[in-house]
Amino acid sequence: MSVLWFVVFVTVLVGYLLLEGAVIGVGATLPLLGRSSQARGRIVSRIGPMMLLSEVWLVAIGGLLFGIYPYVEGEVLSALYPLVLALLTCWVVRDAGVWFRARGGTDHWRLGCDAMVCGGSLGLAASWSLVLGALFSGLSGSLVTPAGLLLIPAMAIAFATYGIGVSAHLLRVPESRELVRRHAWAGQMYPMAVLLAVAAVTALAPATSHLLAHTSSTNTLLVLTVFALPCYTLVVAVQWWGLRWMSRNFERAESTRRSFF
Amino acid sequence: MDVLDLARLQFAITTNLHFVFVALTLGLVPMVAIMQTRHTFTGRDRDELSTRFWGQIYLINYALGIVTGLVLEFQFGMNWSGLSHFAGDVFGAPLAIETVSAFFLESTFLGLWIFGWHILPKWVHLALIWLVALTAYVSAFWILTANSYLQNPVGSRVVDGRLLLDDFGLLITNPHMLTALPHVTGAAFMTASWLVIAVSALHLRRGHQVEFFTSCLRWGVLVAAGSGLLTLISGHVAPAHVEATQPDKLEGPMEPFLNSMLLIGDVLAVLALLVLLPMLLRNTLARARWFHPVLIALAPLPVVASALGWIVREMGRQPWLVYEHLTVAEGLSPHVSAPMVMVSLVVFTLVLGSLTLTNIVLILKAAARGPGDVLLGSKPVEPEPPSPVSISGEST
Repeated sequence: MSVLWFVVFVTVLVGYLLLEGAVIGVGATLPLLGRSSQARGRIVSRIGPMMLLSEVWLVAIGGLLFGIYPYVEGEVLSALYPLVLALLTCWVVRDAGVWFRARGGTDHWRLGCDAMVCGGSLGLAASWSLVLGALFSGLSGSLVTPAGLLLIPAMAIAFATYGIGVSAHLLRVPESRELVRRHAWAGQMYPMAVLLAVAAVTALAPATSHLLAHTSSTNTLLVLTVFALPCYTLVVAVQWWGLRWMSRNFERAESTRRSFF
Repeated sequence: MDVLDLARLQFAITTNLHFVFVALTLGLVPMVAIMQTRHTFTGRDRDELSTRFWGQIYLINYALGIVTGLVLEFQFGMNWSGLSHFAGDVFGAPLAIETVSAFFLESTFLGLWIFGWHILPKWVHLALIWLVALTAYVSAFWILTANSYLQNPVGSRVVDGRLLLDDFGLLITNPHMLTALPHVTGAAFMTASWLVIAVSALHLRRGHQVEFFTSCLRWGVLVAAGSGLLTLISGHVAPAHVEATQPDKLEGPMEPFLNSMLLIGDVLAVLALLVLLPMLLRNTLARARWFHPVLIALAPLPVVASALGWIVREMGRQPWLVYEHLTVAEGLSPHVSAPMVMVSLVVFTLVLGSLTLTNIVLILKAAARGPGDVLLGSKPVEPEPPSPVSISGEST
């Protein structure tokens, strides 16, 4: 049972990095992909609904940590305190930018929101690099590890390349499609997805035995298996279908109605 | 202030913001779902417009619930690792189930509902908003289950200095949860319905969109009367359960908070039931423009009462974090320092505080603009060919 939930936990972590990594990547490259305010508006309106599907994976990570690894949850989050603070702040700033962009009528408002989306996404990429680096070093010594610092540019490039690929192939943004057509390196969506997944698994790997040794009681895992596991599979199925459907319908949607985002 | 005070203040600020704005979300979503159901059956433009208008306000507010909720969730681990260490095996179960089986689905369905306007088959689109509403209440159920465990730790036993889950059935039938769920539901509907009443009164007073807002006002009053009754009844059942397990809670320092909440709740419920409800006859209320400023002024009161009620529930169990098992001081993370908690307190308060102000301003702006200028589900602005029926033409 503890192995089953470890596997589930890893899939949630990987799922988060793949889906939210796409939104972070698009956000971080927003000024590059959208040169005009109108173009950036279209990109934000397309990542808006997707963000609702992707960011809950982080909520699920937090919840599952509490449910499956309560001991490790407190240990890790309080040890990573400043990094978690930075991560959450960047995340709130990014979300506010996406959520509020279409609410104001002035150019300044929209520019400010674009800056929040881009800055928050870059901050998220940097925070995750440091978190993964610190996890990989087993939380011993300084939180800002050499591995973490090296990961920042590497992860930023991975997120950005992934984001460009996603905005071209999944969000079907015309400017990104043009960019990808001209520069083949920019559209590498799948290799970057694999890279992000490998980074997550690598960071978690040293902790495997520690996690397995501090799993919740069988009673708790049983309850989670009954109440949470079926819903998790349902979520994955609905999101899989939903993202494919959204991807195929952006043009039709935009010619039919304006977006909330 | 020492590290304990700082961590408590931080949690209190985040949890109160979360509680009052999520209450508005919980109250608005079934109303939006009912409006959309009416539109799906009648096909009337007015019903679609009210779905979009209140749906837009609901969505603006939704963001605040997500961001405060996530910050809260991670604060448990950052500041209160003593809680997860001691009680995580029990307390973590409903939290984990909430994130995976309620909020995960809610957010997914909501994303599809926002995207699906006018492009999904109307029955599928309608099903989505009902699924959002359903999962929102499932979420409330699990969160209240977790909170009620802290109030009244049932279904568990202490083994080697840690609480372990024993009987999940007891956990999800905790009387503290069973009485809180209808009470919180009532409070959520009160929060939303008094906002609907105030916004409608604002426009009726100006003579804007009279037919539309007369209908919204009627809706608001019906819900305010029903939810006022539900909140009062469930609120009067609760003290018996509270006193059975937490004998001193409702006396002493909590009394002023409790009495203020009761006063607000009683006044609003009586007003809705005995004054506003009869005034719906022949649209007396919609035409009583002298009375509308009163209705507008009352809108913040359910929010105040919700916050007061939450303060009684949470501060009333002090000094316990898990009642009679773990004190708040024992729940504190062992290695966090006061400056660190101070920095996070300042950062979270600034960020969440400015978001809260922005949220309130944006809701008020959207409410004051009226249904003629709603982005959600509106027709695209196309320079050519000129569309014969633009949405602003329809609604003004």
